[in-house]
Amino acid sequence: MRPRDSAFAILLLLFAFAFIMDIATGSVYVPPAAVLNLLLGKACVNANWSAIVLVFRLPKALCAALAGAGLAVSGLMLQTLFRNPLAGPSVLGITSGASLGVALVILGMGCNIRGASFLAGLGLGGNVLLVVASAIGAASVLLVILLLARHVESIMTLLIVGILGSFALSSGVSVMVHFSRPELVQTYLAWTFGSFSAVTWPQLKLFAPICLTLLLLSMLLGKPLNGLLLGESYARSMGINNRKIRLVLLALTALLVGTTTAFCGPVGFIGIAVPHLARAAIRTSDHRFLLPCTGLCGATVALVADLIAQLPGHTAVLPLNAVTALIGSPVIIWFILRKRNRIFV
Amino acid sequence: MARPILELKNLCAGYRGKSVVSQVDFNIHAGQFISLLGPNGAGKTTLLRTLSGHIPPISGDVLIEGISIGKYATGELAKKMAVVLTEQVAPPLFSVRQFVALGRYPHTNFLGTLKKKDKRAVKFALDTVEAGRLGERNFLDLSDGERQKVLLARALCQEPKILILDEPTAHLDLKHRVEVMTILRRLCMEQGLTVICSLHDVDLAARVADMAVLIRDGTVLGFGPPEDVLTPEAVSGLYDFELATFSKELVSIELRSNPTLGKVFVTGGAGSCSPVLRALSKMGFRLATGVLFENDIDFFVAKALGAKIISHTPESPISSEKLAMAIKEAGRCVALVDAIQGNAAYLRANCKIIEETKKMGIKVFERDELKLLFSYLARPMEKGSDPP
Repeated sequence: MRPRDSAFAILLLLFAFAFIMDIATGSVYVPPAAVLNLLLGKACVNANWSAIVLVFRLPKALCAALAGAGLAVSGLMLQTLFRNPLAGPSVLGITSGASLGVALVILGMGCNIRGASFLAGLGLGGNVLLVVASAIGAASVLLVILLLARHVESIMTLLIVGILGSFALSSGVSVMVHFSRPELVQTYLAWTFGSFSAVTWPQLKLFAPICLTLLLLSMLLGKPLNGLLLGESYARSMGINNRKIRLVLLALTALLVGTTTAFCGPVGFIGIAVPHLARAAIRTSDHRFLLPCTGLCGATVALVADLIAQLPGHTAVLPLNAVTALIGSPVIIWFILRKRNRIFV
Repeated sequence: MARPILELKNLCAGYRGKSVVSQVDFNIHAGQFISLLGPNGAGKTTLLRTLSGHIPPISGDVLIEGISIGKYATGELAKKMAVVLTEQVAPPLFSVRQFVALGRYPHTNFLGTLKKKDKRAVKFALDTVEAGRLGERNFLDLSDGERQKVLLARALCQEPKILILDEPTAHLDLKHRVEVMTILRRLCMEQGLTVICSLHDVDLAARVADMAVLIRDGTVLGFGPPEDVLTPEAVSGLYDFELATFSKELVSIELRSNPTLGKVFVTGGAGSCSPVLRALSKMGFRLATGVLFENDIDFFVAKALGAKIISHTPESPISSEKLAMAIKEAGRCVALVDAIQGNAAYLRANCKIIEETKKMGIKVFERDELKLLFSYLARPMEKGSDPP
């Protein structure tokens, strides 16, 4: 077996382990063996376990895996497109657009509806509203980016515009937060922490097919992404239509990030950190292998982050973003300090 | 004659409608080695980028095998043409073999799967540039010279008919410069590849290129075989030389220093004068030499160095008249260097100059006494020091 194949096998095992452990742990512990039985469709002696696993934890774990893979893969595609190791899903302003959309709903609507009743209404109905709001926010930013990408000559200009645009959108949110009542701000902040647990079966039926389709389409882009590693001039000389591939990559990443943010909130760090982990794991930048590896790593990391966030054995839950940053920052620092991982000059 | 592989039709090249090079009009035939010469900023890179399809022509057209470059799909163009650019390429975590395989891009399927044929092409390309042993090395760990060869292999992997290189020898040491040029020359000869590259060394270009294109300030000053277009005047005009001369016969550049010291007469011939003349020129002496035959290498070196030459046609032996002229010239010099080597009949005439000069009281130095000559002549000119 080649080292690359063994790396893949190990990652797959890790993923399976994280998936089962994420379902097994939480405020109530369900033995992994029981989880495995339930997942394989066998009946379980404990009816409570069955409900906990199949109704609550399985959709959450599936959502975490999909969202993690989606964020990581879009991070990788953006890092290659911008030839910048620090590019990530947030650089295009998609996350900020989604945040603004959600802020408009929570904080803006709070002016009319009583804060308490709104918070109470944030069951399924409120959630769907948030999903729609953040999807619209993300989609509008995506539209602006694509229009801009047709006219901007240098990809670096696009990167700078994206980063500056994010700041502008965030400041819009800040203004709204400043003029809002504390309890509404609290609700909004809770959304910005990110969470995989808000997704239930009905939402997953929408989220999973979209996310899977986008992920599969991304997997097909290994060849042009490899070409882009040499810069746009070489890419063109090898037969890559730079403008076309740029639009395809931007649209795919924006849709992935937009959908994920809509359902899970702005989950940070996975998009930046995981591609570096994946490169280190299979020691190649050949995107034909790096893309699936990054997806697998992203799913695993998201599951582990979710597992830690639930504080096994406690009823309390940590903010997801605090946990991903806790994993993410050391990874990036370690990566930058390692000389042999020179990614871009 | 077959149809040219590349036709430039009244081409005007530049960026965003702003012309950089204009009125370019020449044809390139398959298997030719074309070298673009000219100072920085002349428009060589702009012209190359237009030929490679990176920027569209402002006006005029580029025809590849008779078809306008604008009509080619990028994928089709990639099968005709490959490039080696000056920009830094640093893909992380790529072995040399994987990197070269990226050149198979236009030939592989949608997923970029490497078939047997592709792997053969990669091996062939690596062997062609004599870099087969580098296959498993990390691309980022290569030296500049090795990297350039690997970049060349990547381009060859594309199996192009035309290879475009922007200053392929910049940053390379002499060994790799020679290697890269030899490989390119061989590709032209053996595989009929058309090579178009910009070069900074006129001497190198004159030795490898079939055709030279002289570009300055956005205008093509000359196009033709280097033996014809690279005249001393053309090269001096191209690069604004003041203290350097391109010698057509020597196919190289001689540097003159601004002379600050007196004139020294050098006599000899058949190559014995050249090193002495160069050394004296570097020290800052003005030069005179004779009597030299007009087909003597010393004559060409002296000419390029701007020396006063008493010369003689090679058809007849040195005349007494020319000898008298040389003796008169030597009499005006501050010293004479005896560079005569051997005992050939035509050299014996020059011995006469030495005898006569000695009689005039002018100091005569041997070829290996140039340092002595320098201290003898240069010292008194320094202020505040006593003459010896």
